[in-house]
Amino acid sequence: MIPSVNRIAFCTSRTCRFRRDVDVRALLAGALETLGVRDRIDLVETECLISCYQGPSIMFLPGGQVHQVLSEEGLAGTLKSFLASGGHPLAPPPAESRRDREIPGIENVDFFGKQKLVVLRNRGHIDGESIEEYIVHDGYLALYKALTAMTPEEVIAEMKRSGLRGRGGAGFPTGRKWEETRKYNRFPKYVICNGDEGDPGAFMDRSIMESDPHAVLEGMILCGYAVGASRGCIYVRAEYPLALRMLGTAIATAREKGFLGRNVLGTGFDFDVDIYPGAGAFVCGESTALMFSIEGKRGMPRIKPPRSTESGLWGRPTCLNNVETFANVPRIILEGGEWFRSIGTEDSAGTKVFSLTGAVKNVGLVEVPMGTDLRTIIFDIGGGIRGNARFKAVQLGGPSGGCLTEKHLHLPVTFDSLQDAGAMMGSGGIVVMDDTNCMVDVARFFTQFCVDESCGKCVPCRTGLNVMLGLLEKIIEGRGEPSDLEDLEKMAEHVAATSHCGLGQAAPNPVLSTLRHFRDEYEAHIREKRCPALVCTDLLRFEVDGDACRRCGLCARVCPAGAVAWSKGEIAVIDRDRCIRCKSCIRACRFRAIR
Amino acid sequence: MTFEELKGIRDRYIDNRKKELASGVVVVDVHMGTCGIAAGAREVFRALEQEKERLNLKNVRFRITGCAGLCSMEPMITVHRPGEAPVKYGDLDPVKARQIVFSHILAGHPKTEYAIGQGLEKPQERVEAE
Amino acid sequence: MEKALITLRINEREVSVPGGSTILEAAGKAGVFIPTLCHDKRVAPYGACRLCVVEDRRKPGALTPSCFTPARDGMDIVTDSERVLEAVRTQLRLILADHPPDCPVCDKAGECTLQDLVNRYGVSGVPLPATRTPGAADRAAPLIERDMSRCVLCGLCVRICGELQGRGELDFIHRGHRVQVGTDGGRPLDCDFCGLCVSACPVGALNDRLYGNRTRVWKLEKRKAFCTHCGLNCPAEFHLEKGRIRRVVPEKGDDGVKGLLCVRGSFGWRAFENAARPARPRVRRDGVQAEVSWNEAVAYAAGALRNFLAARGGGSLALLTADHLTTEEALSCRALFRDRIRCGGVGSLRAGGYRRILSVLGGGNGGAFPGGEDRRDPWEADILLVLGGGAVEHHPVLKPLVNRFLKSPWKELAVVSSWPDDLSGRANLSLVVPPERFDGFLAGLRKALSGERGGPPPDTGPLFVDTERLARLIGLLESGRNMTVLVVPDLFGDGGERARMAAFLRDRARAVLPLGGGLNSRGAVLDAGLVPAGPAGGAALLEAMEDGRIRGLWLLGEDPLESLPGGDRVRAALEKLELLVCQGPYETAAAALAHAVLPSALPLEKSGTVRSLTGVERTLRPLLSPFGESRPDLEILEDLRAALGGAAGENALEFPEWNTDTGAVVPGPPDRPPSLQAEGSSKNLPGGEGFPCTLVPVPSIFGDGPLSLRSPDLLELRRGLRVLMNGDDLEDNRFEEREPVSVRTPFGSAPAEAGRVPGVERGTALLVHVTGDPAGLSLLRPGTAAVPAVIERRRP
Repeated sequence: MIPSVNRIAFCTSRTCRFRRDVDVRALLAGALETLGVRDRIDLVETECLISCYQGPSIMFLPGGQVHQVLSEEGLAGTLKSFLASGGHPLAPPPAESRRDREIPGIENVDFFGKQKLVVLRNRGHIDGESIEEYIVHDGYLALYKALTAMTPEEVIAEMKRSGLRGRGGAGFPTGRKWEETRKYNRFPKYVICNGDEGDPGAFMDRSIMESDPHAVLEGMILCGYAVGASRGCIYVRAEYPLALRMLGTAIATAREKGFLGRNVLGTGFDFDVDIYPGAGAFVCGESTALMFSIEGKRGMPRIKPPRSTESGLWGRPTCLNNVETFANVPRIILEGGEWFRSIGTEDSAGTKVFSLTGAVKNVGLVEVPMGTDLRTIIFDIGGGIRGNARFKAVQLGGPSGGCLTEKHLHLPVTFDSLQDAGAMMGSGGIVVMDDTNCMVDVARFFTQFCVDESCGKCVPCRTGLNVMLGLLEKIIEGRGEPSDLEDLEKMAEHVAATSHCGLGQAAPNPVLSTLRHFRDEYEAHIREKRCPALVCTDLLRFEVDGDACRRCGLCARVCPAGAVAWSKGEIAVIDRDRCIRCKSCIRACRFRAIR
Repeated sequence: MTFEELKGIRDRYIDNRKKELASGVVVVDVHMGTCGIAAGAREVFRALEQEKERLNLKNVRFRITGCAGLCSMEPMITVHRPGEAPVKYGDLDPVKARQIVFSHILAGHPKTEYAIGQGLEKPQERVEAE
Repeated sequence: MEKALITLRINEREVSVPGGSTILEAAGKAGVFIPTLCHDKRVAPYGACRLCVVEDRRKPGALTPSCFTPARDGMDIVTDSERVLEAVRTQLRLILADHPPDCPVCDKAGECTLQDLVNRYGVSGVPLPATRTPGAADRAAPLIERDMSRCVLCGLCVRICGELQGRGELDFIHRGHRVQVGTDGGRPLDCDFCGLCVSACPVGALNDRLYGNRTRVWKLEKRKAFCTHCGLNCPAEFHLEKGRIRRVVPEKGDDGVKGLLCVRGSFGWRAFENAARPARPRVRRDGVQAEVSWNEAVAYAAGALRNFLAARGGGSLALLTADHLTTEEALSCRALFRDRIRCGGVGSLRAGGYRRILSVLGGGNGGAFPGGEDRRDPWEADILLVLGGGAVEHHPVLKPLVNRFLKSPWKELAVVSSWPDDLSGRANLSLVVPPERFDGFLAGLRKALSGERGGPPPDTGPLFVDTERLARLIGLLESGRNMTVLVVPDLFGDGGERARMAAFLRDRARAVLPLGGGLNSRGAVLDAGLVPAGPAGGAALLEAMEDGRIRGLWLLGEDPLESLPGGDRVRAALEKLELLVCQGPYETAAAALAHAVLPSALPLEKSGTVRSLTGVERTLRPLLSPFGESRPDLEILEDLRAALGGAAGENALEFPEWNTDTGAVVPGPPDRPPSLQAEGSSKNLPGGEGFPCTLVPVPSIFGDGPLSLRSPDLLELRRGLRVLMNGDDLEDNRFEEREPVSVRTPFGSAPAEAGRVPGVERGTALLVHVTGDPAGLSLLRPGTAAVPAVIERRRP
């Protein structure tokens, strides 16, 4: 029952007042005074109410009905009738057709319509802190089904049937990993969720943990049931405080409702989960280093054998999976492995979540079936390159991945399909680059990242990457020699072939793939001392190319040092003595006239 | 927690939601993933709350949900008015948010210039509409 | 369980190895060299240096590290393909990028793994630019120098200290190219100083300071022998230059496995150079000692003996041996003193505890002692039970040996001790029973386990222990699992009760090993029959001397003034003797009072047979030239025997026969009924008032024997008498760590240094480094495990 009017809001937006220079407040006050109800009704200001050509408008609150004030008499009459009558129905919304003309259906918005949500089915749609909402959306039904109607072996069989492969990048068949862990009879066994997600530019796992933490939890409990584990650990990087909080709430509420703890769902199965925040080390995303980190030791990868499924955390059989992998599990159990396998490709079943970033119009989370090609992801879903730039390259898989060019955009994205082109899907980070990105600089960025994050155990990664970084910096700073490219390539191959863990083995990929596809850019840096993308500051001359200059004067306007001389219709001239090499002019110039 | 209890939670939720709809409650989802917060979702949320407070709107309920996926358009909100398709708005700030309160939430006229799309992504559904 | 053999090819050679072997092990067997830097057989493989990469011809191009990759059937490995060689050279170049060209001044030159590999693989040319800030040096710590600018980050020191020694003093700090190996807070080393890190370091980053800057490895003569500091007799290599020891390192066996040493073996060798040794025999004439020739000395000694025997009889003579005699010497000693002279007492101060335990184990209780030959491997058991505290303090190499034992996850260590010693911290089950209740506890436990009836039923109340731990201990003892029992004597206490416990457990135990003792206690007692007799312990001997039952004392390497508690009483008793002979390698305080001083050779200066505590027999060969005119004890004793003359047929040395029925070669003490009151309990002693603290003398990890007391380096580490207490007690008294304090007991007082030790009960303090400190000895009463004491700040 909507309560009766107690406030009247009147629109004070500029456009309204332009049309009718009327003191609406005074008008209203007067009218209400006349009716003798002034003290009962508040007058509040508001923003524009509808379309401005109908102003000045007033809105009765709390009902929300809007009326236009066309004349004083009209106002008095409107007020009287409204106050007199009892119930106040909601103002009718605009006709569907008009709405539909102006607002597209979500399915017709390419960014959304071309995605297929499995893992992200609840994104933005549920309050992640509410276990009730998760339950309402089929939450914990899979757990119920597994615990009461399936044996652990049957759960594993379903996982194997689904063809799910680890989403953290390595792509190991999940069902097989669970089966391996189940084999070993040393207790307690552990289930670990790897939420470290250190790749720069990747935020898939973060979003999953923040939006739908219970999905991850349910996947872990199902894993615990299947492999015979009674303890779970979620390792979340400390840089994700919201994810840590959401998971903490999820665990607490799951415990309350009996999904965690002793005797889960009354079936005699015990399983509980603890959260372990990381402490700022990318290398702790490597599974053995992660386990050492949980044990309170230094995060350095160890030798294998033994594999972690046989002897992992605290020397016990441990099943470690990625956040996204776990988030897939409840759906697979509910809908069946066959359904999952029907999505995606032969060797890569299901969907994959990508974090699409960089020079695209639509930056965000993209979930598509495996096998979707890069062009669809970048140009259809991503909306293509923003601004007036051109596509140059796309980097997949963060610092472990290689880059691909326009020639490769037709390639489908799966675990294995990009290897021949020198790249890999990795954990799902996609960084799109346009022609304002220098590929040598990109290679340097990722190599610097790996140098900072290397654990320091093995010689090639610790020292070899550093040597590579030195060579890249040499090239970027304009001191490059032709032999540097060969040295760089050889060292990169050496590091990739002899490093101890995935970090070192994959760290040279950005260098190797940019050398393969953009060698001419490297050559320009070395032989011509020129950066074609106009990024590497040491190679920029900060002079205006008279032929290209369109005399717009934008550079002069943005220069913070007043180093650009320009008058209307003239070519801009840069005073190099005053120039501080900040590149504001280069970034502003739409015609690439400054070199 | 038996299956019946599980179902009970679901049924009760749907029941409450139906009652809510019948009494004309508008639900506004504010998408507050870390990306949203970094873009200013908290300020948007505060603006919305302030308006609700100021205007004593008893039929508006806010929900904090996670990232809706289109991070370059954060802060985003989704407005669910009873009986109408939900509308997703993006690239908001407190001023735009207040406009949406009046224009769409109260008056039923979606602010099309800020709207990204209407309806839900499949397979998201409104549970109460079964 | 035998593992199936697998066969693979390495460089065209076929080799078969047991399943589970690594490719590196297979290569070793095939005689193929694979370079390594971060590999040491004493610790688990690590995979850091990546020098050991090889190629499998079935997968060309892929490089595999061979040190931890399991060998598999059908592998076709090459170690010298162009790809492998290129990888190794690049790796070496990368290591050299951050390695200073210190070879000309580095002590490791000539035995440096990095140097050898660079030479072998022909790495030359312009070095790569440095990527790291060089590490700092630590020259402040004693004995071990750390020059981390040379560190190649192989992690061997970290692993050997962490995994094997269990101390964890060194670790990696920071990440990536900023990694350094260091201590927490960057402080100087303050550890066990076992020297294992130095023995593991492949380059010149960790160096032996006693060795440094004196010579070069190619000038050294390397002799394999064994350490003579304690009864473990760890194999060691002595590196000599022109007859002088330059350093002692763990032996590298034929299988390439380096051994273990402790601080005494690694750094205590300067005791052998100690010049405070008598060069010539001395005899007392007219109240004054004068140097004489050996002939004169032997004649004098024999004469004095004859006179003494005629006047007092053999029963009034006691022999104290530090058990540094070889087995042959012990045989001669027994022939002379027991068989011929029939002396009234054969005992030991150094090895008193060991001998006492052995005598209890051997006699009474119906069990046959297996004899000197028994060598069942004590580490094959599943449970290691240690009775008594101080196992590692007596024999520091036990620490890595126990860590090795515990690597198998099903093995357990249980320690029952009267103070929280080093091993208690490592144990799966540790029971600490205060010293005054320790013997009573063991007796009560024995009674409970044997199910004896009679008397009030024993309840755990008076046993004063945590009942949960007690239950676990009993469970362990009755589990039927394979068990080895180590019996550790107190420094000055009795130890009999724990020996009785061990004897009781003998049926359930795979091996029972007493610990403590001197270099060759086991050989002396079990092979040569130089068994304890008469007033064998320190307390009994002192009383016997005081009341005149013993009027003559023959000291073999012992010095009561250095190692018998009792203060002035000891000196008075010695002065009272009618015959006192000091036969030993070092000058002792007692020697000043002696009638004859007979300088004998150090173990490393003579030859003979020695049997370790674990029963392994080894042969001593002279490594060093004798000092002055000192002679091996065998020669001295044989000369004496000849001079003394005797019945025919008594000149041959014969090994004793064991009576296998009773096993009773060693007469045991009468079996005392168990009581809850411990012998020599501090409660029996006067002066309980005004002495709020209980003081427990404990052995020192740096050694309490004459060798340790004559090594300047070990003495420096000891820092004199120390009293260690609970941290809260330290704070309550407002003592600082290392604060000079004064300790007083009803028997004496002594200056000491205060310190903190974890795990000790409040009101109890541990007294370390007592031997060699007369004031410290005066605090105690012989034969007691603990005394009441008060500790005060020392006024300057």
